Amino acid sequence: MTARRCDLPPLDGLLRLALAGIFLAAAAVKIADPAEFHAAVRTYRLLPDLAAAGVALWLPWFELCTGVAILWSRHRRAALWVVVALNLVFLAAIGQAAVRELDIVCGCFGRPASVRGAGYLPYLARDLAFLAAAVWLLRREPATAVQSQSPSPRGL
Amino acid sequence: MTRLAHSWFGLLGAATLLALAAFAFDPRARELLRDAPAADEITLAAARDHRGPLLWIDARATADFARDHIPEALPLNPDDWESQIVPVLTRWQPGTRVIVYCDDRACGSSRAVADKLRREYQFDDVAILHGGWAAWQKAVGP
Repeated sequence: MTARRCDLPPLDGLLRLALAGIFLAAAAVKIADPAEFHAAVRTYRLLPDLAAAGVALWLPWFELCTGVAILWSRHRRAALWVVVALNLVFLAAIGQAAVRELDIVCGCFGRPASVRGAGYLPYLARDLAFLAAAVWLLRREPATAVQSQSPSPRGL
Repeated sequence: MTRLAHSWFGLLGAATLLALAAFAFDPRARELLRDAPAADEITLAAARDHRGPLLWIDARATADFARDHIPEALPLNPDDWESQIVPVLTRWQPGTRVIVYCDDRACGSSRAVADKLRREYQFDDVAILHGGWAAWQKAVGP
């Protein structure tokens, strides 16, 4: 068992931990202050008020569950697909705000930083990095899973 | 159903149950569905009733401020912060209630400006105008 764990590439483990930590941290600050996140969701001008409130209520818990699932090998693959899907949604939301030159606050990690003009680029870059990390891990995941499930050549 | 689909439904279900529990037990979560001002927001009526020193901060773009603004408001937005913060610091004194506004309920800069004033400049009484400039225009007329 120990030998198999040592076979896992360290970069994969670090990336998993980082992604899970990011999702858990993002969820925690939003759960701690739902009104702040609701105000942030509203700035994207994508949803009517009631739907924005629903998103502000539900999304932090979804991020929390996803963060936990990334650390849970049984659900990791599904969680990584969720990370891909969520980051595509975030990129689309920030992208449309950039095109419409909206005055938004990111709402990503709680602190209400204003995003306007060239200020969109770091946020787009960050979400692209999260997306790339999830895709990388998804590509590695089957190989890792096969490796951990197949019998050891040494018969351990 | 595949294992992947099982996991997805599990994630969706768990998140939905937790959100429902938050809605049931956390009064702040229930507040989201009402159209009430948030804890750090103030209505225009309450702002007008305020007795004591008051400082209006216009967090919209500088060009919008130049076109029109609340009387005696000072411009302060994230794009021109360095040049605009000096008059604000000159005017502000302890005990002053600061009210920040931007275009409407769905703009972000008033929230960012208010947060920065509280955090970096230790302004102790900063509120956001509920409804922003749109609420002012609606009350005062064009």
